[in-house]
Amino acid sequence: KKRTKPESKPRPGFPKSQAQRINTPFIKVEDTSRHYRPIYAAMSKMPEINMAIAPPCTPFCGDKKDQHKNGHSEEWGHGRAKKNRAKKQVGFCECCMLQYDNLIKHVQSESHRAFSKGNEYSVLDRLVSTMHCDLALFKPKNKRPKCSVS
Amino acid sequence: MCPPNITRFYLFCSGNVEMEIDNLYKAVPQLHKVFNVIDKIGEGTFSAVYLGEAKMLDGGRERFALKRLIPTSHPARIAAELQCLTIAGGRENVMGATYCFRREGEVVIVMPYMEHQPIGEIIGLLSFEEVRLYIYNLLKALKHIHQFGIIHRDIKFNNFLYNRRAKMYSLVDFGLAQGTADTQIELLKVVKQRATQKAGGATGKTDTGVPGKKAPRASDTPTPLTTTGPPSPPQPQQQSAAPPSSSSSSTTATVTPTTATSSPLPRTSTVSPALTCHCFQTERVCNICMSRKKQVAPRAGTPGFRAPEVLTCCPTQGTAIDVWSAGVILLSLLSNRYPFFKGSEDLVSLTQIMIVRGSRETVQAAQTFGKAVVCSRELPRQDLRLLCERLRGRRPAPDGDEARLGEGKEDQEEGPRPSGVAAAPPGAEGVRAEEEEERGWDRVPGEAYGLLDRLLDLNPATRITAAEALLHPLFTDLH
Ligand SMILES: Nc1ncnc2c1ncn2[C@@H]1O[C@H](COP(=O)(O)OP(=O)(O)O)[C@@H](O)[C@H]1O
Ligand SMILES: [Mg+2]
Ligand SMILES: [Mg+2]
Ligand SMILES: [Zn+2]
Ligand SMILES: [Zn+2]
Repeated sequence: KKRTKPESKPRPGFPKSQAQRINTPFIKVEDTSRHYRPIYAAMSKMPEINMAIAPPCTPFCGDKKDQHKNGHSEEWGHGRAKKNRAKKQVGFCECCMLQYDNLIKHVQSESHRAFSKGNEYSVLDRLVSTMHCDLALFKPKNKRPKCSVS
Repeated sequence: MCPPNITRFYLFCSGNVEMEIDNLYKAVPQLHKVFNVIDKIGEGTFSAVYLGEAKMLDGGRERFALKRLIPTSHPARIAAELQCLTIAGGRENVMGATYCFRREGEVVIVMPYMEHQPIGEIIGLLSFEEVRLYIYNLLKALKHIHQFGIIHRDIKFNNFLYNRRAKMYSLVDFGLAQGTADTQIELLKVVKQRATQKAGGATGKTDTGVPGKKAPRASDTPTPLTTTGPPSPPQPQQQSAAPPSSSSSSTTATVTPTTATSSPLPRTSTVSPALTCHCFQTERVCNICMSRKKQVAPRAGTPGFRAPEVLTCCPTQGTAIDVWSAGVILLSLLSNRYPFFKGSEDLVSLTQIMIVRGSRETVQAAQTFGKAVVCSRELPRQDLRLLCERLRGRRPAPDGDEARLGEGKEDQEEGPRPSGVAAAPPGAEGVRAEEEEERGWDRVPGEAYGLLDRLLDLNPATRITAAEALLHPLFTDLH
C-alpha cells in the first residue's frame, strides 16, 4: 500500500520526476547535503500522549497489549519468549559476515567452524592473558566441585 | 570432527533453565571446575546471563554473573566489550570483569554478581530522593566511561543495575560500545561503527551490526549479502515508502554524493550530477530523491532511548547520545512511566520526542547537525513539570478545549500547552496523593526539571555533558 499519491501539478522547471505527496500526518528527514535518500513516515494518526493510560505504562499507546513492548528487550520468560526463540534462529553472523536463517545450522557450518577454530580469537585471548585471574583462588578446592558443604 | 550436539544452540535460549545450564557447561567445560551455575538472570539478543557460585580459598562463597555470548559475535567485538569492563569497570558504578572463558567460538564473560530489581517492578514505589540518587549515580558512571572515550550506545534501565535496598548501582553491557576519536580503549579503535542490522527482526530489541574492518562505513554501500540481497534499510517498516514505482536506478538520474567514497554508485545517466529535485523540505518525494543512496549512520541501541541525532541518521555521534538516553531515563522516573517512549520505528520515536520537546525546536536543532526535518503538524513543546505531574496523576489532566488541542490548531500561544495530550480518565487525579506526598513527589524542586531539560537538549552540541550534569544544582549536597 502506497502512502503517497501523485502530485497533480508538476512544478515548472521540474524534471520528469513523479513527485508524490506524502499522506499526513507525516514526518520527513533529509540530510541537508541532499545527497541521500530522504526518510519519511506517514502515520495513520499523529501519536499523542494519552493521559487515560494509567501509570506506569507508556502514555503513547492506547493499545494495551502493546504497552510493554518497548524497553523490555532484555527480559525473558514474559510470554513472548516463544516467538523470540523462533526469531533467534535468524540473524547475522559477524564472523562470517552473512545472514543465516538457522543459528544452529550456521554455527555448525564448515565456514563458521573454521572461523571459530582459527586465530581470529587471539585478540581476545591476549586480553584475557593480561587479566590477573582472581579465579586462581578457586583452584585448590575445585578438584571436587560437587562436594558441597551444605 | 564430530559436529556439536544438534540441540546445543536451541538451548541457548530454550526457556528451560536446567537444560540451558547443562548446555552452558558443555559449551565451555572449564566452567565446571570453577562454578556452580545456579540460575539464569537475563537474556538479550546476543547473550544469556547466568548466576554462578564459586567457592573461595577462604572457604567462603561468591556469586558471579556469567554472560554467555552468542557464538556469532565477532571476537573483536567481544574483546572490545571485555576491555571496556576491565579498563573502565570495577569502580564509579561501572561493572568490572573478573575473567573470561573461551572454547572455540563460545565465550563467557565472568563478572561480580550484583543483585538488582527490574525497574518495571519498582518504578511506582520510588521516592523522589531515590530518583535523584539514581540519576546522579547513572551520570557518575557516564562521566567515568566518557572520560575513557567510551560511547556506551545502549543506556537504558536494563543496563543500569539498581539495588534499591543496598543503594548500589552498576552500568553493564558494553556490547554495543563505540570509541570516540581519542578513546583510551585500544580495542574500541578497531571496532568500527556497526552497520544497522535488524537482529532477529524483533521489535524493541537492541539493534546492532557488524564489527571489524569489514564493516561498512557511513559512506560505503551496505555490505552485500550473498543470497538475501542488501540489508533492509533502517527505515520504518510498513510506513516508509519504497522509491516510487516509476523510478529505476538504471535509467533515472542520480545525484552524485560529494563525500569521499570509493563505493560503486548506481549507474548514472548523462544528466548533470548536480541535478536536484524540488522535494527538499516539502511534503513530497520523487523518484530523483528516492533513488539516492541511503545514508548509513550508527544506529545501535534500543528504540525509545535513541537520541534525535541517532534517529535522524546523523553520521557524527558522540558521548552526547548516552546523555540523551539518561534524560529519557529521568523523564521516565519523574513521570512514573516505563517505558516512556514507545515505538520501534525511528521516525515514530522522533515524532514522540517532538510531542514532548516541540517540533519547531526539533527542526531547529536538527538543522545544526545537518538534518532537515519536516513535520506535517506543529507540535508545541511541553512544560516538563506539568507533563510529568500529569502523567504521574498528581495534577488533573487538561480538560475541555485544552485537551483537544492539536487536531487542527497550528497557532502557538504563550506558555505550556498540552497539544497532543489526551484527557485523563475521570477521577484519576489524586488517587494516591497521600502516598505520593510521603515519597516527596509533592515537592520536586525546579532543578529536577531544569536538569531534565538540559539532558533532553535536542542539540547534541549544547546538551549538558555527564561531568557538567554532576555539578548541577540538583546535586549540590552530593558534591
Ligand atoms: N554483573 C551482573 N550482575 C547481575 N546481573 C547482571 C550482571 N550482568 C548482567 N546482568 C543481567 O543480565 C542482563 C543482560 O546482561 P547484558 O550484559 O545487558 O547483556 P545483553 O548484551 O544481552 O543485553 C542485564 O540486564 C542484567 O539483568
Ligand atoms: Mg543489556
Ligand atoms: Mg548488549
Ligand atoms: Zn558464522
Ligand atoms: Zn525529490
